[in-house]
Amino acid sequence: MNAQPILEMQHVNKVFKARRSTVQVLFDVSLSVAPNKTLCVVGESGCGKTTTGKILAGLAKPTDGTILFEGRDVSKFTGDDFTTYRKAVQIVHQDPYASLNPVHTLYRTLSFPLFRHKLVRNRDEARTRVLELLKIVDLSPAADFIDKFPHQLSGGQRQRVSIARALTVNPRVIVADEAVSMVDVSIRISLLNTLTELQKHLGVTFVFITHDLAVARYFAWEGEIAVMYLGRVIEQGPAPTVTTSPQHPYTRTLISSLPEPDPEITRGKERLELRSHDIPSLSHIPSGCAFHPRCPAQFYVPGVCDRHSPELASTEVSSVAACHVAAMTSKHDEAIREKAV
Amino acid sequence: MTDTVLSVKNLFVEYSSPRGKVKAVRDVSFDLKAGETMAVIGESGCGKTTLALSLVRLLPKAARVTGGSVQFFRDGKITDVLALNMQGLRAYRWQDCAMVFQSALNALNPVLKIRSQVQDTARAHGEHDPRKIEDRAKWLFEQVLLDPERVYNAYPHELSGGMRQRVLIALGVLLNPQVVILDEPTTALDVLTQRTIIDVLKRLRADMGFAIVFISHDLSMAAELAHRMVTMYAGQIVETGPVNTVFYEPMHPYTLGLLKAAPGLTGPRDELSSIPGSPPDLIRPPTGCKFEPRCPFAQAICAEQEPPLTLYGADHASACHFHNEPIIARQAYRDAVKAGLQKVEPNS
Repeated sequence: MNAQPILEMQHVNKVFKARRSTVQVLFDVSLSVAPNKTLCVVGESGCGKTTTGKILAGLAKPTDGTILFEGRDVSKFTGDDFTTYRKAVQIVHQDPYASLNPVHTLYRTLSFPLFRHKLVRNRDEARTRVLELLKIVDLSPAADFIDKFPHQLSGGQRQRVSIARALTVNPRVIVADEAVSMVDVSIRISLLNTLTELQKHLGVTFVFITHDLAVARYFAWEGEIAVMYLGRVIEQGPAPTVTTSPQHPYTRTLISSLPEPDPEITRGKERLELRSHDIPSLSHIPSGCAFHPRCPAQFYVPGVCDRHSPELASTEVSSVAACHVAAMTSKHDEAIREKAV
Repeated sequence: MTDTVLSVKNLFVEYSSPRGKVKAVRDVSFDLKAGETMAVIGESGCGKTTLALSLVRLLPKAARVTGGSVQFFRDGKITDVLALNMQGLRAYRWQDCAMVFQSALNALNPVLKIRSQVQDTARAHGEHDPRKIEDRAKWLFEQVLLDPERVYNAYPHELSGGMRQRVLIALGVLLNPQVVILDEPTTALDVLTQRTIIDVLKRLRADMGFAIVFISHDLSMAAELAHRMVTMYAGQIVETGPVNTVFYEPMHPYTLGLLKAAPGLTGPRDELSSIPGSPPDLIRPPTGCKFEPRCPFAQAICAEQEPPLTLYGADHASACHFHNEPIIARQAYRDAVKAGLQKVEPNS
C-alpha cells in the first residue's frame, strides 16, 4: 500500500483479567487501512474481531502495542489531538435496538453531538443539518422521520439512524461492527449500498467487521479482507484474492462450508472436513498453530503445526497467510520456478 | 395422494391488535410429502413463523385461525389438527410433528440437565423405561456429532450455541416424528457451526426419513437443503416449486428480488440490488397484488386485480400476472454473470 494508512494497529495484544484467570483475546495483531478504502475483518464469534474494532475506535485500550492515527501514536494524544481523533473515528454498533436511546427522538439523538462539538450554533442550524443527515442515509422524507422515536422504526431504519449518528461529526473512519447482520437480506444489501455511496461521496474509510464472508466480499471488493481466528490474523489480502484463492486452511474451510444462494453451486462444492467440530476455548489455546486441532487432514503436518506458531508470510497469490503448509507450497513453487528459469 | 404427510388447505390466521385485525396468513395451501424438505422463504413479518406455529397449534393468544384446515396423515389415519382436543394435541406435538425453535438459548430449561429434559419429554409421551430413553438419546446425540456422555449430563449453560441447537434437533426427533418444523435453525450461528447443523440435518433426514418444513430468510440454506421452495409475501404464498426451478426460473418478482439481494462467493462481484419500499400494512392490505407497489414489472392491472396462485409449469406455481418477466430477467442476469466469470482471473 502506497498511501499512509489513516488508521493502523501494530503488534497489539489484549488481555482481559477476570477474577482469578486472565484471557488473552488478541495476539500480535497488526492491521492497517488506507484512506478512503475498506478493510473487512472476518471471523467466527470469539475470534477477537469486536475487540479489534473497539481498540481501533479508541473504546478499548490495548495491553501492548500501538494504535496510529495518520501515523501518530494515539496513546500520546492529549487535548485537541485526542478530540480530533475521537471525532474522526466513529463506531456503528451491531444491535440497532440497543444502541439508540428509546426516549430520545431522532432529532435529539442526532443533534446532541452537533451541539457537543459546536458544529452548529443554534437549533435551526441543527435541524437543517439533521434533515441533511437523514437524507444522506436514505431516510426520506426526512421531515417525517426527524421527530420519531426509535420504536416507530424498523430494524433497518434504526441502523440507518446509527449510521447518521456516526456521520454527525464528519468522521474520516467508520468502524462498523456487524452493522448489517441483524437485518433482513434485502435490507442488508440496501444498507451496504448506502455505505458504499458514503465512501464514494464523503470519502469515508470503513473498517467493517462481520462473520459473513459473502457480505465481506461484496462490500470490500476493492478493499482488503483480514480473516481472524482465535485472536490472530491468519490471512489477509485483496477481497477477490482471499475469497477466490484462499491460502490458509481455515479460510479454505470457511469458504468450502459456506452455503451459497445457488443450488447447483452449493451442492457441487468441494468440501473440506474439519478434524474437530469444537472451537477451542480462549483460555486453553492450542500449542503451535491455534488451528491445528481442527485443520483438515490434507493440510495438517504433525510435529510441525502443533509445535511452532506460524508467522504471516507472503503466499503464491497477493495475500499473506499464517500457515506452515501454505508457506511451504509457496516456497516450493518458487524453487520450481527458479529451476525453470 | 397417499404419500402426503401434512396437508394445509386455505389457512387464514389473524392477530387482533388495537388498530384492527392483522391478516398474518391468508389463504395458504400446500401438501408436504413424506421425506420432503420444504423451505419457506420471506422477509421478517411475511407470516412464515405464524404459519409454522399454526401447524403445531402454538399460536399466541392474540392469534386466531379464521379459516382452512391442517390435516396430518400417518399409517392411513387422518388427523384434523385444528380440531384436536388437548390430549390429542399433546400426542400430535412431538410424536407426529416436532418443532425446533429459533433461539436455542431460550428453548432449553436452564436449571435442568439435558438428561432430565430428555427423560421428561419421553415420559410425557408414554415411554417409561429410562434405560431405553437414555440409549435412544445417546444414539441421537452421536448422530448430531455430540459427545453423548458429556452432553447427556450437562446443563444447557455448559454447551455452546451450536451444541445447544444440535441438542434441540436431537430432542426434536427423539420420538420419531414424521414432520420436523425448523424455525431459522442456523441464524445467529457461525459459518462452521451452521455447516455442522446442515450436515447433521441431511444425515438424520436420510436415516429417519422425516419431512422437514424449514423457515428461513436465508436463500443459501434453501439452496443447500430444500427439495421444494415456497416464497411468502404479506401472508400469502406467492411462489412454490422445485428448488432448482425456483432458483433458475423464478416466476414471481418478489422471489427474483430476494435472489438478486443474496451475495455469493463464486464468480465476479454480482451487482446486487435491494427490493425498494417496505412490506404492506397487513391490517389494511392494498387491493390488487400486494407486491405491486414494490414491483419492477407492475402494470395497471396489478393494482386492480389480485393474481391467484396458479400452476404454470410442472409443479411450479406463481401468483403473478406477468410470471414470464422474472424468468427472462433471471436468465439475462445469469448470462451476464457467466460472461463476467470468464473475465475474472482468480490469481489477480
